[in-house]
Amino acid sequence: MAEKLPNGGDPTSEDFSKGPFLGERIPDFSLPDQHGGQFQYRAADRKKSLILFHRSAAW
Amino acid sequence: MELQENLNTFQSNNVQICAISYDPVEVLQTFSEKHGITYPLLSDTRSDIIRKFGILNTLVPEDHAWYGVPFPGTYIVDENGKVTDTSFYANHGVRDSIPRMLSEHLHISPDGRVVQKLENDTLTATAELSAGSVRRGQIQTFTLEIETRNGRHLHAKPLPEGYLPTELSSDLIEDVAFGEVEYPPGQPFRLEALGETLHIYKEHLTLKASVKNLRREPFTLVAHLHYQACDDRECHLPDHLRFEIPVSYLENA
Repeated sequence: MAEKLPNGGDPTSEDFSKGPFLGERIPDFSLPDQHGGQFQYRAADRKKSLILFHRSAAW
Repeated sequence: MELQENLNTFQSNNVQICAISYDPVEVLQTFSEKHGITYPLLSDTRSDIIRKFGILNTLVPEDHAWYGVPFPGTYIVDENGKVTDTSFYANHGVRDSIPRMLSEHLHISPDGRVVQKLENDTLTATAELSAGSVRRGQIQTFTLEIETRNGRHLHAKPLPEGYLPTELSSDLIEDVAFGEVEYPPGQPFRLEALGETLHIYKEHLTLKASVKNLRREPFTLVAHLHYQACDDRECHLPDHLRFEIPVSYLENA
């Protein structure tokens, strides 16, 4: 990275939003993928899932 | 790309994967071609889903080019859509290791076996099934690797009255046969004060049993280790560890 994230505070602080807690449901969603398809996450499909959130593939 | 390398393991255990960022599809396409990524990289250009999850990085100012990025992290979700584990770190350079997540949260070792590790003051025990998914008629091996700790030992058979042997068993599951457990011979251990010689397991012990599946649906193998730990001076109360190994079912081709 050319510059640091402008987070101002302590970079090791764990005090930030981490979304749904353990035991909570994640929302269903649908997004385009890199192959031109549409990916759907639906709890009704009853699939175990690993869902990653990344900053960016570009930097 | 650790995730890509482990893709077969995820697929054979029926775990779907996706990675979400705020990049446009074209950026993801270039990235996946460059790095040979085949699992879905999802484009959330307006950060709608990132917001829906509640993980928009609010430390980035709205007028900054990076506005819209999430706090990077990982969710492991069970078949009911519920979060069973998360991994979020403030430091953007830190990521959970995929093999660690596989083994700890999904009980899958990177080469496709299913593992569970339990620890206490007496021992570290790693339970493992030779495959995470079975077909009808397949026989797998259940292995329990035990390392004793703190100078403690466990009892082997034969044993005099009043001592509890080390025993591995499993809950009954219809159409799944848990075979006879192979117990290795113990080392002789002389109790001078009592004038008795016992047989013990110390440091390392491997227990194995076959698991024969005749079911046509997934199941959870529940195994129990009953034992009594002693050291050179005293014996502790009998104890018990419970292992749960989820096994998915594959239709015979």
